Amino acid sequence: MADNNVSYLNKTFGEFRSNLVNYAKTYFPTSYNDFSESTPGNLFIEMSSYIGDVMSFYLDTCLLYTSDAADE
Amino acid sequence: MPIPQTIRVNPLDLQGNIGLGVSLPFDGPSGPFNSTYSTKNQIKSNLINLLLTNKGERVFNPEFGANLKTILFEGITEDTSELIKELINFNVSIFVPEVQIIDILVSPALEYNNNSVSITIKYKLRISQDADQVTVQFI
Repeated sequence: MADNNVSYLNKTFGEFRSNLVNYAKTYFPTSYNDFSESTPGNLFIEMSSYIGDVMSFYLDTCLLYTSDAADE
Repeated sequence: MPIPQTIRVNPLDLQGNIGLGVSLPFDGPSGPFNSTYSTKNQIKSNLINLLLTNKGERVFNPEFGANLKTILFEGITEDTSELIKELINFNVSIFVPEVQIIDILVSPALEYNNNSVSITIKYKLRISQDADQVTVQFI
């Protein structure tokens, strides 16, 4: 999977979404091509982005508490 | 000398084996998801998706949707029908600009004691001028 050019720097919904769209455009050009606002396929891209955003938030919060505990 | 008619086709329609997106409803024969292979079918699914979405439902995109559920408990009158047509015309022009609406028919569905409404939209694709229609029933 290292060759698949996955970005590990996404933190927000918008960043996850745009990277997932780019990923689909790059690796699934013969299966999925409609990236308009009204397409039902957005459901899957946006749900994944939502999960990514929430996980990123909890990761940041965990790191914050861990570093606070270490300081004390 | 007559000017020859040019036929405009979306490039994605020239290759029949290229999948465009996912169609609605999710009830494919070999699984829940059906791929679409023509822009005509994909745009039909996009229209259904828009009509069934209310504003505020989409995460981080609260403006998306036709907002038809806001008139859920209104009486079925001429004014309500006109309001439904206005909402559809306005939102389709923003979110599905590939489509030109020809006519919208709003009629109460008799099988539910006139407590539901059936909306039929007749439209044509701007690029290829293909006509199609979609019917959505709100019970």
